[in-house]
Amino acid sequence: MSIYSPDLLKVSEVLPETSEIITLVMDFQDGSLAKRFSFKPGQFGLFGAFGEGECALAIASSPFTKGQIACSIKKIGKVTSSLTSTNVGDIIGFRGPYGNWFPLDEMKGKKVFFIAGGIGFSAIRSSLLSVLENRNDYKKVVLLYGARSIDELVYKRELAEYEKSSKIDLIKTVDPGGESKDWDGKVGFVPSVLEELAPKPENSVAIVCGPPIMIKITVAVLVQHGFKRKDIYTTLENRMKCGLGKCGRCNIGKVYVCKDGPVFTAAEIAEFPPDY
Amino acid sequence: MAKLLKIESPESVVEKLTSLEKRVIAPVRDGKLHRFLPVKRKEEVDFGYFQAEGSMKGFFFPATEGILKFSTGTKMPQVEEHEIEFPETFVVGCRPCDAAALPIQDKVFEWDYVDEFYKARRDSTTIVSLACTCADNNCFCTSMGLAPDSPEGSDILMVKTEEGFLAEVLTKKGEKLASLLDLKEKGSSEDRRRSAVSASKLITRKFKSEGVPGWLESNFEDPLWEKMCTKCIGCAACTFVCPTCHCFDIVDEPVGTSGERRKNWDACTLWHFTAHASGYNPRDMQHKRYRQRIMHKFDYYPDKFGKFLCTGCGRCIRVCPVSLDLAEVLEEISSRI
Repeated sequence: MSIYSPDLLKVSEVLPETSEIITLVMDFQDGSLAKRFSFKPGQFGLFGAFGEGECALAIASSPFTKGQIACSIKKIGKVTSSLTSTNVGDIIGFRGPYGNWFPLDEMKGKKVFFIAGGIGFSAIRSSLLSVLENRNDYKKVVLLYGARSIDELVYKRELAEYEKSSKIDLIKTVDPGGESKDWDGKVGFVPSVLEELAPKPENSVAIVCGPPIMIKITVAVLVQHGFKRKDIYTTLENRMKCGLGKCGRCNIGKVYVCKDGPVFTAAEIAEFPPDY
Repeated sequence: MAKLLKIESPESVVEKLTSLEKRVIAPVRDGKLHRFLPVKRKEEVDFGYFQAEGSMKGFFFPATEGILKFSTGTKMPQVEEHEIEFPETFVVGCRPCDAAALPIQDKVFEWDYVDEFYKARRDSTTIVSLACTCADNNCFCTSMGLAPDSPEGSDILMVKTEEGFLAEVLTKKGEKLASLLDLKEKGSSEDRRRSAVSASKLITRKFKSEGVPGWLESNFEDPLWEKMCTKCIGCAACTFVCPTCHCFDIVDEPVGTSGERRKNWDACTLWHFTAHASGYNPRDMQHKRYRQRIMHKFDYYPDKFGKFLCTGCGRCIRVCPVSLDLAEVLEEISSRI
């Protein structure tokens, strides 16, 4: 076994999310690994289709689910095109878990704002499920989620549950033009809706993930509202090949996203040179 | 303190090792240039060389290597590990700047997760370097904290002196080889000291490098980058000849239903290096990509591992098709400190 050797996962469910995104639920083939495997919310893995290559993706399932992991994939490039055409029973290669995680324990006793854009939700879903699992440890839990259009919202099944739940305040939005006549959410870009929401920074933390530009603007809005940069967490999705701090691709300034991240505070990111 | 022993010549080392049928890698003349190649007889070797075209990097971290075999013909893909065993090897007569590159790469391939392919090759190889007796104006090892007779990364360093050759035995592997070569006679430390003095005079290109990381950190947006580095055409030749550059790609290369997953050299100066599948590229201009190369070598790597990611071998300068001179960029930075 070398550090580049993947473990094998068998696809047990393929859940369509949008016209371009699916969620794969997968079981570990090796029984002892299935028992042993654990990860922390925010960590990622290299998911691979043999003959196509590997792709760095966040583990999107709850850390409390044993023997099984899920990831959500948007069909964009060669590897993601292959992974999104996977069927139940297919075998996927997996290396991980890699990288650091969201410090959910340190957030106990605080208000937690989850703010996501598009497929970016997949990188914070594990943390959200974890917080909801231990709901009594946290004060208020808010999810502000937006996408370009209604179709592009992922985890619609869960969003419907959250609408009815008293455990979480859901604010969903789509970009202008992405709504339909019967859309019951907001219309506007995530940072503008956040502006309207005027979140209070006292005893609060924010967990943000989305496209690079959305992260940058969202962080700026939170800072304007008095959030300290150290209380804003995000996860960066750089291009990564090895996940092991060697291939050099995810290096930004003095950090390797795969080793020092992918989870960073806005305070840490403020120190980065502007080339990520 | 390293042990000093007398040694007949670098050729005698090759002769002994090849007679024992050991795998030996040494400089071989190939037309106008020299290359490191496996050799069977001492007659194939030419130590009267200045510097080999490529470094020895490829013997430890090949330009392309298989890391996994797979076949996808059935419902259950068959995955097979690659062999991670390599024959005992002796590199004879590489330059100190190439030997010094090895500990620099070790840090990358052996921190936290150990790259077994790299480590197995390193573990099975003994490095017998040969101190320089000539240099050109592209050599700048002394500005990188090294010298034409640096012991870094060598198991044995061979030094030409007025009296003949000395073997500076530096490690356990070196001691093992010294006894295999039957080296018994002590060398003179006075002789060694004199050779060090003449070595120190070889390098004429010098600049102050201590302040470089600090300058880089505070001048990311300086006009210097655009001014000096826009001419980079992103061919990555500098990266491929560099003994310390180590970035790589991992790709699947299938043929029908079977194939290999391979680790291939890659370079931060190539546009695709950081391009996202969405089309977004954080380093969208060539000078930004060249800046990354400098930042990584002279700020980020030193911050993490405590040395420069460069030995001053000068290959990148000799090979650049547009005469982008890395030392010139560093000299410019140095002049501003």
